[in-house]
Amino acid sequence: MPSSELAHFLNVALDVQSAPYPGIHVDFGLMAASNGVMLVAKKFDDKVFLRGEGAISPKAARVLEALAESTWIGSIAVVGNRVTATAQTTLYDEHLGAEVAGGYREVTLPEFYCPRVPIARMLAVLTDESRCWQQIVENPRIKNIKEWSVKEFVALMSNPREGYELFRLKDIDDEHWYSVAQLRRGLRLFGKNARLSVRQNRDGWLAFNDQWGHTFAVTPFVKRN
Amino acid sequence: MVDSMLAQFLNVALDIQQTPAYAGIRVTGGTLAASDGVILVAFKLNSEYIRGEGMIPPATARALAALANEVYLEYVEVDGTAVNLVTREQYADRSERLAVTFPPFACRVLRIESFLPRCVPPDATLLCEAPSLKLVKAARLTDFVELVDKPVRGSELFQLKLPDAKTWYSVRQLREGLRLFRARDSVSVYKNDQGWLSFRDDWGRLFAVTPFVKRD
Repeated sequence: MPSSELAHFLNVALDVQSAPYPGIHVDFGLMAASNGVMLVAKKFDDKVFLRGEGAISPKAARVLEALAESTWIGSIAVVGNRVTATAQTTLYDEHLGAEVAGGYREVTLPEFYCPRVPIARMLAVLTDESRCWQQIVENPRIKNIKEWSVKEFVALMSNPREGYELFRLKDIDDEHWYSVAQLRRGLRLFGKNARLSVRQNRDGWLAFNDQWGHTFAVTPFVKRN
Repeated sequence: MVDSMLAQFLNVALDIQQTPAYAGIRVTGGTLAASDGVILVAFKLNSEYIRGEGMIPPATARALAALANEVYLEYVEVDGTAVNLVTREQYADRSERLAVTFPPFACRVLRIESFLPRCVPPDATLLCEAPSLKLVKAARLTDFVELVDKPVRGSELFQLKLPDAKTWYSVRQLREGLRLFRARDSVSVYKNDQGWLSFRDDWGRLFAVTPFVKRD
């Protein structure tokens, strides 16, 4: 059985991460990636599953993603740039006439240099009270984001409500607005049945969370007078 | 230096072996081979580089393709369905050997190598060297093509299928396998008495496709 959830997170994180923060950063149960404008993160409740602290380089992350797409990953240990995963083997049972799960084996990936980023500190900004974070809406519709062109820009509805569209196309006098391309890349993180909670701070940063520990945050474009 | 040719082969092979009956990439005597029962791709490498005998399961092949694209591999060793490889980790002041072990996954052993002799001389005869394959790229995926009467170097190898063709080939299948070769690769084309068409280059890569045959 593949680790679909992990594989999907790695896929989105690999797409998001780039300079100045290349790689996927791990901090004791937290996995996150950023490009300075967007941030995606996943909190793994199971502290045994994701251990250690460091940065998984994009190269190692691609190998890990390939493994996670195909088999169950039992645990991941990150120490600096060294990544070790345990992958579940499978074997063919002659009596059952089917493939069955076997034991776990350790896979040590080559160490690739990747600068480390204090990702836990970056994530703490998303809950920092001094930045006046406010809950905007629970479980809004974001269907428009999938339909509009990636070149479009959008702003928040004035009074977003549960089950109604969160975004509208940008007006000329909007103070903050967001790129559809960026939103679409980050919102891929959430599954179809995810219940989204949306927050915004005084600088216009938007943060989306779901019940599974996923977070996506994006910074806005700001009107300069 | 990364082995982009190995990575590219693995990616094409992974696309081809998607049916469960043909899952995996066969390794024997330094040759990698994958098939879907209709088309076949193979890559003959040094037996010191690709060691052992067995199958590389799709799970491992995906990880191996990602690694081959990123690091220099000293060798890859296949033992049944377990794959071990040795790579070099580069640091600023030194390089260190690292053995990476991929666990075994269930994968049926397919002796794909038994089809390889049918694709090369003496079973197959040389049809043409370095023909043009532009029609395969230009035609629609749903089209079918047949060989031209006397293919010559530099001229088109295929023409669109005529109603009275005896053997013909699917553009979709040809395009899938020909991805193995790069634009400037010089490819030799062979055909056997059953109409199997095989394309080989100087790097040891081979793509073979079986024809559609007119039944009277």
